[in-house]
Amino acid sequence: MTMFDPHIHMTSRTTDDYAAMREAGITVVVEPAFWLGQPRTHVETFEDYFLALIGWERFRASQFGIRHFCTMGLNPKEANSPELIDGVLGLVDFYAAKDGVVAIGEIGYDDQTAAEDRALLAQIEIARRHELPILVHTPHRDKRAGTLRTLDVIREAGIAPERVLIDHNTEETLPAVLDSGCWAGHSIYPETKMDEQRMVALVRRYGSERIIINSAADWGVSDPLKVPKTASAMRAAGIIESEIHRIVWENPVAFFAQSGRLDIAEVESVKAVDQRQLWEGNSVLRGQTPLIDA
Amino acid sequence: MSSSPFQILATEAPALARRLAEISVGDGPALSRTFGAIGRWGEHGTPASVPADLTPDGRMTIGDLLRAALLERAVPGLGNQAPAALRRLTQTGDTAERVIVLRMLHRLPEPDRFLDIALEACRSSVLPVFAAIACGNPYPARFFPAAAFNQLIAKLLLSDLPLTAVIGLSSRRTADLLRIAEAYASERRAAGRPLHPDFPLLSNTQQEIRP
Ligand SMILES: [Zn+2]
Repeated sequence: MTMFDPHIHMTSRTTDDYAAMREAGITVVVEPAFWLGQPRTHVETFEDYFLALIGWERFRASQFGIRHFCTMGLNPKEANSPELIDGVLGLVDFYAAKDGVVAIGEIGYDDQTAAEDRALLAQIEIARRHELPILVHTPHRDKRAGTLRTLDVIREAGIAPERVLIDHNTEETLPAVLDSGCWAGHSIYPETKMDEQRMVALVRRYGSERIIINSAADWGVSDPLKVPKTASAMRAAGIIESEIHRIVWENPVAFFAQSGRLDIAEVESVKAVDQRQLWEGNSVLRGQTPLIDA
Repeated sequence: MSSSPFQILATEAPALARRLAEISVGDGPALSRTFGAIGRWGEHGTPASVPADLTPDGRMTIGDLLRAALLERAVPGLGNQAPAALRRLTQTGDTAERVIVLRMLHRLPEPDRFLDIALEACRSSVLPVFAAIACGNPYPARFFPAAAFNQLIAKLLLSDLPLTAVIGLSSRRTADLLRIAEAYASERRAAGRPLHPDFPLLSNTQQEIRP
């Protein structure tokens, strides 16, 4: 089964991860723009990060037969840096026009401050201008209240719920998100957020419509194989193949295809690996024999 | 407030105190440079006694004490440049540098000027940086707006840091904080995960609730 990890921060991961993901069946990833674990101090470093997302990282993924898309956004954590906001929002607007950008995100709330409100609303406008869907991060702390506030803001902004993916859901946020008409993402983490067995229970209870899972793997303790591992857990629990396929493939494809920049036929044809290719003269290889799919 | 870092330094390492007294730090960039290097002046040894607000766990090096003493002596002379200079110190400092700045904030003139520095530290994922503002530090209870104080507690509940280490928690036990704590407990129960061992400090049944 080919799978899609619709939320993974590959810039923080190794080539071993890429190889293992491809081996496990992952052929498409979406890398949301996020923070680096600590706040950046200059607008210009965001630009280099955005350039890496659409450049080197996409090439690195392609070397392992993985199609890489990304989202552009000022994340809620750094939306609290007043000296950065205007400059970064300008960059988000500029890079939102690039080919591989399939949504604005991850945006939303962290501390639920007034500065986060401002950045969220401004980026909903950017998404509207570029006709892109949005990927919304929900807060780790005071999560249910933060998620309900997010849904209110989205309703008031008048953005169509089918163009919104609300991420990092739990047992306590999922019913409201499904009721809103938005898509519901779940980050399967080794320790926090959500685990495989809890996800199985949610699918049993709520089905597969608008349900999406991801690894949200980043620079922290996380596992880039959580999508295939959760698919296996669902299979072991007797969930039927068509439902699993919908969750790990059809749903994320349908959501991000709304960008007009993810061609369904193209992502369905498995990307051939050719590690002889170079990116601006660089290869991901360090003297190994290149892998080439026939 | 207990004795000043410079006084402690003068008692415990008089030669270093004399050396510190000789340097003048007239502006933010000079403070940044000196602050980075000064930690290595006194690599050897730990001070015999230090105030609890500077090191709740009792661990502090002579280098940390030198940095605290430098802030104590230099920041008043920076006048209205001080907030920007300290902000730069926390942005460009390593973890040890950041921790000392955060622990000293409430001892410096007009501490409310440094609120955004303290709030930024609350967002840090570097646990010692977060702990430096959250635990054993009187700054949040004195200067944080309610929403920010509540976020600090919500973040602490998701860590292994003790709630008992938060200074002034009882004065900030508002109905909204208790609501956030209840929502946290409900989410943990739904996920089948244990509560922070200090959670009872925030439960409705304890003490009276402030409006
Ligand atoms: Zn993320």
